Amino acid sequence: MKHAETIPVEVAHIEQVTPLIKQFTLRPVGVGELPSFSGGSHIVVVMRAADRTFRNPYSLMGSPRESTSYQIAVRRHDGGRGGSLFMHREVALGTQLEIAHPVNLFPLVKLARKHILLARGVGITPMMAMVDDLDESSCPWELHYGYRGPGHDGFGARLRARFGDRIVLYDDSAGDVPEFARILANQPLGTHVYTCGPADMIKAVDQAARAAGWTGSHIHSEQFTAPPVGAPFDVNLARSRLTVHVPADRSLLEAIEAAGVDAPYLCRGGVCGQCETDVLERDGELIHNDHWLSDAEKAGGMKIMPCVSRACCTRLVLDR
Amino acid sequence: MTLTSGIRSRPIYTALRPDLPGRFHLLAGQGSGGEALLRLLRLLPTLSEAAEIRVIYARESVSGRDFSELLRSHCGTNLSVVSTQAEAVAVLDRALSGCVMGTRLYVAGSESFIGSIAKVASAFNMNADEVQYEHCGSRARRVYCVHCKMSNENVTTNIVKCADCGRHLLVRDHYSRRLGAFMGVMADAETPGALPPIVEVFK
Repeated sequence: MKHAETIPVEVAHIEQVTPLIKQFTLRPVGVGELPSFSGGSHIVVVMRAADRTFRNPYSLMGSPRESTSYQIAVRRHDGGRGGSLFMHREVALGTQLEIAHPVNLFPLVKLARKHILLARGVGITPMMAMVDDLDESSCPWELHYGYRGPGHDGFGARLRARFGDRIVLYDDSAGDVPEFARILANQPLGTHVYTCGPADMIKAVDQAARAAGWTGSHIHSEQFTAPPVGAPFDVNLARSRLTVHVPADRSLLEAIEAAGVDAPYLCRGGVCGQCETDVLERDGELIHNDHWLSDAEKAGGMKIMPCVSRACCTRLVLDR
Repeated sequence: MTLTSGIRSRPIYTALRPDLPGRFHLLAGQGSGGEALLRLLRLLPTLSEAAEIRVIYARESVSGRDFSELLRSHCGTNLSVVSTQAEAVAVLDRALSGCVMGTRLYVAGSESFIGSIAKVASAFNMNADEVQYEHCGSRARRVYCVHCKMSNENVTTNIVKCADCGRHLLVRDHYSRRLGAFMGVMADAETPGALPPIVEVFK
């Protein structure tokens, strides 16, 4: 699969919004406008470090009406593979990066009669753009945002200033937690709930909604999984006739790409399904970290999502 | 002359069955559909006490079957009986405006009744996982004249003369969910007057 060309951008502004989160303003290099997008979209940022290339997905959090720059927020993960640390330490004003075109895997439902947005931590980023779309519609909406504690409420304060009582804030450190069952009770027909945050939050919202009789078509969530670090392993790429080593701090997809193989991908967070790959042979277990394959497919061990998943095998052969 | 090959626009109807996670169950039926509602009602009382049930029934029927007395003996005050399909649609519209998430809608009746109710349900953004449709009784079709935009009710023949513009329409299997009707296209447009035999096909 050939990927669309990346867009060269440069960093025009950096703001430390919370102790862990930096917001970057990206402008196209030279003149020109960036592609338009809808709230909930993400881009993949290509970071060329000295010895390797990171490609990390980040939600677009600026206004979809703003076509001269994009805004992304990056939470620092000190124990991660290094992409967020690269953004926090190596990227400065004027740094040039490449980005892929926006893709929306978390869109607002246009026919909804009400929207309820639930976010925690850096999960607020896609919703920062969604509220711009909602602000222009006549459809009722509300947003509930939980943050770590004092000093971490930067995005919440911005939203509160713009939208007032539509925004409900919850200070984790004060034990202030959203009661999903109460929030979802007695909502009008045609209400949709959108959750972006940690896995336990997404699960709790799903359970509360279903307990209130909601059906799956009204429940939406997005959780990009950063590819976890893990034990190194080797993979045999049957079609490419290559054996590739996957180091502890690289994803399987990154290792395949580093070997010069053009593998399909879109979200790089285990969500979209684009990188799904058939497993031809294995002598151990696959470590599935994606939100794409069904439980039965994961148990079957015949498919893997190389963007986030790993393997504990001495021999692993993929159809790639 | 048929235009049916490979057309998949028509909804798939199934037998109504209780959707137990629902908190409020709204049943809408017409004519022969009353029988399907009775069958469903016999299964619903096993639900938890938190769930509520309401029934709307229109006596208007192609086949002449009326289940209003049987329904009344089964559900008492939770039943609204009206005489026409149009009234049932209006009652349902009002009922849905007061409903909250967790509602399930069950519909049983002719295809044009189902189509009218489906329009109301989708206006409330009720999706396929919240609404069930069971086709009962007559297979008569509502046919939309693509030339003059008039809907012809209870069509049972392969060709029908449009009640508004007088064109002879071939009744296609192409179904519009927005209109709740099958498309009718002029049957003798190429050679005026050259029509195939008119036979009853939707009994």
